[in-house]
This record gives sequence, structure tokens and C-alpha cells, in this order.
Amino acid sequence: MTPILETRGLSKSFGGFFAAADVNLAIEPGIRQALIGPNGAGKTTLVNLLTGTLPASAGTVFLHGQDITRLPPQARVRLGLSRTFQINQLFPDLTPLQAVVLAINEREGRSHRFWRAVDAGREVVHEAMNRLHEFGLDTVARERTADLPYGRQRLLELVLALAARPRVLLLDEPAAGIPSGESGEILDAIGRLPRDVTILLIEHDMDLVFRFAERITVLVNGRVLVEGAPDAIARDPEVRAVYLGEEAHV
Amino acid sequence: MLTVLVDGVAYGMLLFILACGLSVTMGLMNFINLAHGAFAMVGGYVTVIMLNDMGVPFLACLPAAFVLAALAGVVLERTLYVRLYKASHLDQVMFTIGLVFIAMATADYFMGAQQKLIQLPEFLRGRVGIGDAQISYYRLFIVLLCGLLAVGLQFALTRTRFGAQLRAAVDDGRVARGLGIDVSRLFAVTFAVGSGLAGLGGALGVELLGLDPTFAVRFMIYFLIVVAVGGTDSIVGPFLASLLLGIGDVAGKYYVPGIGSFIIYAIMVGVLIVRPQGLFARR
Amino acid sequence: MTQPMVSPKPWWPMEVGFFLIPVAAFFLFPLHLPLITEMMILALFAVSLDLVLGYAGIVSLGHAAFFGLGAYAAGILAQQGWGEPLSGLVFAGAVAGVVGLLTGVLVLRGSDLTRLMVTLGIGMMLFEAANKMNWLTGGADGLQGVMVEPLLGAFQFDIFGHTAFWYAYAGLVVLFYVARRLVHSPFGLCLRGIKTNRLRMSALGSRVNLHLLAVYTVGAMMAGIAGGLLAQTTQFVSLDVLSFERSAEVLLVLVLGGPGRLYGGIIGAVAFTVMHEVLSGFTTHYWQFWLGLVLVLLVLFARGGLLGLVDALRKRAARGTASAAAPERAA
Repeated sequence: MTPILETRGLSKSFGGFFAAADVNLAIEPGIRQALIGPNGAGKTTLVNLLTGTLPASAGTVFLHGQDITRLPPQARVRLGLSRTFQINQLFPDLTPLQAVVLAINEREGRSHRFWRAVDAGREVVHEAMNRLHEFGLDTVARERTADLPYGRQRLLELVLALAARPRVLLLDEPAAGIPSGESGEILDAIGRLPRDVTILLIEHDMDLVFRFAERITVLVNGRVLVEGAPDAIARDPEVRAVYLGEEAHV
Repeated sequence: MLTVLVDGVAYGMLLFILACGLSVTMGLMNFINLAHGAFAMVGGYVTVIMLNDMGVPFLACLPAAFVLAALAGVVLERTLYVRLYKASHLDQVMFTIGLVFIAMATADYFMGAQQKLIQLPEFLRGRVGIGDAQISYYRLFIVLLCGLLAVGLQFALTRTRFGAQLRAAVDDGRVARGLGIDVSRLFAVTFAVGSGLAGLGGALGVELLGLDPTFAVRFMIYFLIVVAVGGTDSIVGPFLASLLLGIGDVAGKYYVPGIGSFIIYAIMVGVLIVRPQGLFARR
Repeated sequence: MTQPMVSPKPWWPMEVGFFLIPVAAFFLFPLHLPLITEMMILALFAVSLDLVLGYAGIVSLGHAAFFGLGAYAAGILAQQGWGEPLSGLVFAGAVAGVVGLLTGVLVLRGSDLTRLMVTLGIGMMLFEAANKMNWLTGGADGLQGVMVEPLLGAFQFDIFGHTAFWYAYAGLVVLFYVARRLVHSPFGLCLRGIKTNRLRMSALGSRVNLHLLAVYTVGAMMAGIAGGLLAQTTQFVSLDVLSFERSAEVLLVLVLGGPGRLYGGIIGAVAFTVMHEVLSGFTTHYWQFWLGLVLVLLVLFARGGLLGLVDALRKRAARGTASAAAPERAA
């Protein structure tokens, strides 16, 4: 099968320091893949290279076989590469409903319409409510986003990324900041993500990774150390040494 | 030709002294302070009052202008500016425009709308002839004084403990706080010195730039050009920008008087389009 | 209600009532018509800035550039013999819009500070240009000999300012309606999104800069039309339409009323004009002092402007009734 997201020799250097060095990834369609690595391994840099927030120093990124290395972030989103952020990136003054409508309007290329009211796009509002309902946010659809509890905001972050109807979704530490006792809701939500969306999970939390991932890539010092099935990774002595070993100390 | 050059350099050096405080505070606090010119005006009027009404010698007026402008700066910083460091840029713009309006009306009320003149001391009057060019002593004095100050500032920034703290805070305020640097004291001192230098510049500029209540607005754009073109991460950038601006403005007005200041604005807009971070900024 | 509303339900009767106030003013203050006309033009100018600043978050120190361009465009057209007012107004809007589009490309680059500088710089350049181009603009003496033909071929611009009043009123109402539709549209929602979280907007696939350019151009056009209205109703254009003070003034008007609410511009224009009349009545040219003081106090204590204050009071009142109701329920 052709990979849906692929990188070849992807590198990023900051004045001689390689935050990402010769990264080769090939992610199968529909898979749940996790990207793990100790702090400073270059996970964030890699995400930024994939989304286009940072320009690559060398190498190529392919989405569905198309070279997207030089495309700006928003063009990549329109091609089906969407993301969530480690730190919530929401619209505090808008309601969840407005935010999701906004996201759908962008996807449908309706955001330049300036004469008809937002509410006139009934099917958009309808879809937005459905999407909110799916994640149990329909009850707060018309409250100010800033007034929602953090866990709810975290879910909205996910809904917004999904509203772009992505083929590949990058989840950047989706449970970040949620106390482990209360993370059930978000874990459920991730578990229920549709199968036709390929997921690349960037995560610190090993429980989360081993619960969802079907394949794991370990990044160390900007390089791919090893890639494989979860049980193979768990057994890998090298991984245990550099990563799991370190975790055990904490 | 030489006259234009020396005039331009003197003008540029003066602009540097006027504006360097602004560039440091903008870089340090990310605060858009359009009222910087008001502090320069304070220095100017202090000099006019002391010299004309109280008979204090010119050279003694200069430190007084510095001190009083710095005092005004520190008082306003501690009482008002400090509340706006976290505010939006729009709020900062509105607030400082408000201060400028207040300063202009106050100056008008107490000092009158007409331009103030001062009598320079004997040894600064007159000119020296070099070839065909006539260079005024006063401009040479300004070049010398401002040059020394610029060197002193650069030394203070790069070689002293305070300077090191300041540079750390400009680079990353959070890290600096983590290192135990008292950032709010740093802000206050920097703001005071910046305002004081503006006041000194205002005092020196009475003769060269003219002083009336519109001073605060008239030169605001020049200060902003220095900051925008020079960048905010060192004082070398603003220094070069000031010289460029000074020489460009004097030469422009001398050789093509028909288009006046147009040329300066055009250069600034041009620079900002090519290098939004400033011509001399590192990034 | 079957469909959930995305935007709060607009309150039409109140809005209609609001726009009937000037009509009442026409009959109540027949001697102050020129002043009210100027107030309405200022309101339109402030609404145009609200689109750019209040909705899209672009801080401009040079919005007067477009106002002035519109004023000179309409004025020069009429002076050169084309005195038909409506086409003159369209011309004013078009000139300002084209310049807005061209300069918008530059303005959208860089940080807030660079934007301030570029808007300010472009404004100053236009001011200097108008100042030096005596042959076209009349320079510092102002543009003389602006001859405007009767409106719709029937209504002469009279010395009492009747025609001017209704002309400006119509301009304000029509363009306000356009702005109102715009902010409640998907485009308007998109602008609010860009203003609050640009990063998220581009992560949603939004062409952020294109949208900002569009609203900047629309704002420029509206400001140009406001300037055109001023030139046609006063039959004169002075250099200060392009001045920095004019840009600062419209910022103040908007901040005074409350940005990001459309009505803020109008309320601000009324408050500003009244304030100007009252304060400059007893302190003639120190009026600037009070202006500055109002600005400082506004930023320190009332960031949402007058409409923000109204909101805060309403919220407090709601909380007051809620807590007053609570003991009753307990009893």
C-alpha cells in the first residue's frame, strides 16, 4: 500500500544543530501511529515540518504521493493534513458552535461570503451541531469557549481539527494538561475517531501510546531510532535504554 | 557637501540620543510608547526655563534636563505605564497618544504656542571654515557629546552587570526572571535612563530642531523610524539608522527641497517592506 | 426555534429606532445641521475603521489616508467640472479602495509595530504629497472651487445644509447596512477568528492574509466615501483630512464608543462631537488636553469604550437581580 504521509531525508538544522536529521517516515493509510521520544528529541520540530510551520532544510514531505514540502500550512490543511495543538488554540470569545461553523466554512471555501448571514448556511450549522454532539459538546454549544472547563476545551480542540475533514490527523499530546484521573473523556474520544482518518499521535504518556498505537516510531536526537509494532518496541533493548529507562527514573 | 554631511551627522547623532531609549524600552518591554517625544520636550522646556528665565549656564542645564526628564519617566512608569505592559498594542497606542495630547496642551498652556529660542554660550557660537565648508561649533559639540554618550552606552550594555541583565531580559524576559533578575526594577531604571536621554536630546535640540508644543508629535515619526529601521535588539542598529536618517533628511531637504520629508517616509516604508524586522536587526 | 443560531439574534426594532434618532435631530436642532452632518460622516469613518481594527485587529495609525484620498478625489473631480455627487462618491470610494488594496499588501507584512509604522508612513507620505502638489490640491490653502451639482439632479445643496444632511444620512445608513451584513456573514466570523487566533485559523486552512487584505480594502473604500461626503457637503477640502491628528481622532472615536461592535463608531462619534463642542466651548484651544485625558482614562478604566461600560453595567444589574431573587427562593 502507498503510504498516505511520507518523509524522505527530512532535516532541519538551526545553525549547525540538527533538530531533525534524515527522518524517513512512511505512514500507512488508516493506521494509528505514535511518535515518541524523550524531551528534546525533535518531536515538535518534526510536527512543525510536517504541518509547514517550519521550512525544511532538506528532504521531502509527501501527502498521498504529492510533494507538499514547499506548501504553506493552510494549503496542506486543505489537502487533508490537519492537527491539534499541545497548548489549546481556540477562540476564547466565540462559542464552540461559532468556532466549528468557522472551521467548516473554511473547509467548504465559504469564508469569503460576505453578504448572507452565517445562520443562512443551515447545513453548515447542522453539521457543526452534529460534530459537537458526537463529543458531548452540544450542551455547551452556545457558551463562551473561555468559560468552558479545560477538559471540554481540549475536546473542542479535537472537534476543530476534525471539522477540516482530514485524511491525516496529527495529535500533539492530546491529553496534555488533563489530570490523569480525568482523562477518560479524551481517551474515549480518541478511541472513537473514524477509521478512515490516519492518526499520528505525538505523545509523552506511555499508557496512552500503548493503548492506541498500532505502530510506534521512536525519535532520539532528531533521528529515528527504531520503528515497529508496540510489543517489539517495548522489548527493544535500545529503546529501553534511552527512553523507557529514562522514564523509569522519573 | 561637507557642510551637509556634518549637519547630517550631527542631526543623526542627536536623533540617536533622542530615540535610543525608545528602542531599548520597546525591545525590553514590547511596549509601543508614542509618548517618548514628550519626555524630550520636558528636557527642552527645562532648558529654556533655566537658561532664559533663571540664567543658569547652558552646560549646567543639560544634566538638569536629563534628571528631570528621567524623573518624569520613572514616575509615569511606576504609576501608569506599569499597568499597561500586558495590555494590547492598541491600548498602548491609545494611552500614549493620550499622554502626548496632554503634554502638548500643557506645554501650550504654560509656555505658549510659539517656538522657543535660546542663546547658546559664547564658545559654542560661530563657525569654523574647512575648505569651502562652514561648520558650526555647536554641531561639532553635538557630534562629540553624542558620540561619547553612544560609546558609553554601548560599553554599559556590553561590559557591565546591569547591561548583561538588560540584554538577558530583552532576549527572554521569562528566563531572566528565572535567573533571579529583578525585571521590574530593570524596567524602571531603563525607562528612566531612556527618558532622561530623550530629555537631554530635547535640551540639545532646542537650537537645532526648534521647540514648540508640537515637538512631541513632530518627531514621533522620526523616533519610530529609528526604532523600526534600526531594530530593537542592540543599540548599534538604531545608531546606524539614526545616522542614515539624519544624513538622508538633511541631504534630501538640501538637494531636493521640493519634496521635503517625502523621501524619508518613502525610504522607511521601503525598508520595512524589504526587511520587516528592521535593516540592522539580526533576524 | 429549530435551528440553533450562531450569532445572537439581532434586535431589529431597536436598531431601526436608533437610526431614527438623526431624523428626530433634524427637526429638533435645525440650526445645528452642519454639525450633525459632520458627526454622521465621522461616524461612517469610524465604522470603516471598526471593520479594519475592531473586527480584523489591524491597528492602523494612518486610516486618515483613505479618508483624505476620498475627500480629494471627490473634491478635485467636482472642481474639474464633474459635479454630479453620486458618481463623485463612487469615484472617491474607488480611489481609496485601490490605494487600500495596493498598500494593504505592504501593511499586512510584519508585526504590530511594523504595521503601525507602515500605516503611519503611508499617511505621512500622502500628507506631504498633497502639501507639495499645490497645482492639484491647493496645498496648505486647501482645495477651492468645489462645485457640486444638485443631488439626483433635483436637490440643490442649500446653505441651511438640508440636502447635505439627508445625503450624509443616506450614506451612513446604506454603508452601515453593508458593514452590518458583512460582520454577520461567514466572512465576518472568519475575521473575528483571525483576530483572536491567527495560528488556529491557518491550521483550519484559512487564507488569512487574503481575508485581511479584503477587509482592509473594504475599510479603505468606506473611509474614502466618508471623505468624499465631507468634501461634497462642505464644498472644500483642507490638508488636515490627511493629517496624523485625523487618524488619531478616528481611533479615539472608535475606542471611545467601543471597537468590534459597529455601533461603537457611531456612539463614539456622537460622544466625541458633543465633548468637543462642550469642552472647546470653555477652554478653546486647550481642548486637546481633555482629549488626551479622556484617552488615558479610557484605556486605564474602560477598555471596551462606552458600549463596553453599558455591557458591564448590564451584567452587574443581571447579577444584582439574580442575587436579589435568590433569598426569595430560599424563603
